[in-house]
Amino acid sequence: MTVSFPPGLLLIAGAFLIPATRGGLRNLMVMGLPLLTLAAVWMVPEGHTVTMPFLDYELMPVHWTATGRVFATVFAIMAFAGGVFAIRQARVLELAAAFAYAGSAVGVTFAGDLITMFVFWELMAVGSTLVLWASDQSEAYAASMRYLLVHVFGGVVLMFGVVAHIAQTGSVAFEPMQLDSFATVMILIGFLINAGAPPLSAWIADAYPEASASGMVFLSAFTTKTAVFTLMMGFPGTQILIWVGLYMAVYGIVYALLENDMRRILAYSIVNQVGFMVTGIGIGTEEALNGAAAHAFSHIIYKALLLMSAGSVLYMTGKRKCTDLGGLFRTMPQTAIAGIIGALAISSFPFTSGFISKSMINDAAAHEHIAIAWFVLTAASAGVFLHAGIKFPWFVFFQKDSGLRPSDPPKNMIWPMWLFAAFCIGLGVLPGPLYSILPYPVEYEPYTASHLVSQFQLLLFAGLAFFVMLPMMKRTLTISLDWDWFYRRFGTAVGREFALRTTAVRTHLVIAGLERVRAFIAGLARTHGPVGPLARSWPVGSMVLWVAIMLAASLIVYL
Amino acid sequence: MSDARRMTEPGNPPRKAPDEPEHWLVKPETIRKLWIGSSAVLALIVSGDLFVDHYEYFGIDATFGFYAWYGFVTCVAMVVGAKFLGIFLKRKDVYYGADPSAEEHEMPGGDR
Repeated sequence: MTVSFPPGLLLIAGAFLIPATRGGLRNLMVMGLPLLTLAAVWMVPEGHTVTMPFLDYELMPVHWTATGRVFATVFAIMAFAGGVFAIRQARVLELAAAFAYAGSAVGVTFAGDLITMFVFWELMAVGSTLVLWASDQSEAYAASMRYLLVHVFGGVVLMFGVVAHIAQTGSVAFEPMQLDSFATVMILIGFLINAGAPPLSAWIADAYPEASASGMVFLSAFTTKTAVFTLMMGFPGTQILIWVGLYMAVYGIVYALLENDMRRILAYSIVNQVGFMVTGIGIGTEEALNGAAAHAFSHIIYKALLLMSAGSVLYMTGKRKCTDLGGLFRTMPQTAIAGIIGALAISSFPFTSGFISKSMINDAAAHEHIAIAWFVLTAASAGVFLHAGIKFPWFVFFQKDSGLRPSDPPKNMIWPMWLFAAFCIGLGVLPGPLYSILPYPVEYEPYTASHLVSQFQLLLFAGLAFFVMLPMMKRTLTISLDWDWFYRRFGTAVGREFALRTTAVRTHLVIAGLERVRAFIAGLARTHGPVGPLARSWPVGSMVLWVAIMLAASLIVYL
Repeated sequence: MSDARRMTEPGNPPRKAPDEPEHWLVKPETIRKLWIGSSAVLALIVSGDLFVDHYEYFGIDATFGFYAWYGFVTCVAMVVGAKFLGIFLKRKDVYYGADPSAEEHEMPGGDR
């Protein structure tokens, strides 16, 4: 059977059906639709393209690419596990919005033209904002508005670029672009805003942690990785991406090290991990692009696992700050083990999914002899273990005893954690199936003695550094300023200052104006008031006298 | 479902009982043993470089114990660097919440 419609539409349709159903039928939808989508993704024949005329253009709503299939596959798997995780605890709005969001992300991966891509891109912004609106966290609404503003801004920049590109080239096709025109620069900026690149990277740590326990699991997966996909399709080998990616990798670590909120730690580490992928895209060799795609696949799964673990802690304790948590391994053993497996995978520990994907990017940097990229990525790999691999499980499940004794969460939240934990280890031990669906042929062997020894050395000594430096990592009740300060504080401060400064001028103008009005009224009163010369009552005799004078005057003038 | 009986109330976890015995994992004796064991593992993994040849790309990446010291030194540098940046960047976590112009918003979306 051949699928000739965008597979993502199945999930988007689900978004409208889920609120209309109840009980068993809804459970069936939430679990069945992602699996149907997965099947549909794989039923699009290789190289298949469906075209559709629209105005003067030929749209390609279904355009098969190997890269797109990798992303669509993991998006569908993610929607399944996230749906099960959320099914009983989340609001209906969240489930529906998350499905529309996931479906739009799948839609982007099959978009063969810029217009289709843009439509699904914007639908994602709507879906993800609605996921935030369904949150039960107190700051969610304000954060969702900042989130929406960033994405609407990014969308406008992208649309600018798309329109200019179509006007210049006359083609709507979504193909690799050169960074040589205003249009392509705008498109690149639009993509990078969604990837969490500087300076607009703060939205990830600002908005995502304000979603519900399950909401952040969805949010972590789609927006940034769709941006990685579009960068891979549009800008492979664009050198500036190496620098952007390296900055992101280091930025994520530094901010995560300073952070106290467990879900913000994980949000910063999204930026860090996407930094690896963006660097890989910037390197642009087949090995690097394979690595970026493989790493996106692994990343979605282990990050979701970490956030399910953190979400379970949040759901059971109602707390997010490391300073309030600790010692939970005693009563939440399953959540702790899931969190640790996710933490090992994100750290690229041997026999986990991160090991077989991230090292492809590092090795690509070595093979291309890009020393700065290799040294920074290697340091960042060690830093991942520091900021996410140990810091998250340590401060949540171990460290000092918080005295809290919550149990593990309900079964529907436990099962997807085990599923994804199995994926993390399964992909690590048997990378073959993932390698076989990557866009380019893989000649990579992750399990060499040299690679194992070097990775163990790097990670274990990073771990040693963590425990040696532990006194310096004491958690404090603080946040860290980021670029978002400019639109959260600087902008409002400028506005308030403007209001203060202009108040004096305004007061002056109002007083002067009132003075004018008063003078006018006084003048009127003088001439037309009760005693004013023009309103006074005059004797008839004086009027007759004046008439006679004027008649005489006219006689003199006209004769 | 037996699940519901064993589960504590979401959002309101019970506290530690006063007579709860100390968990074996947090006993000083266990922690001491963990340090000893970990040190042995670290020594073992560095000595792995005696038997394994690394391919050299950048001059120093194949030298003995490179990944060990590089991982350790860069991590210490990142912690210290983050601490230093924190001097300028850290604010109380109510920093943005304390904004007097921030208004209370009702959440849209209705009830659960």
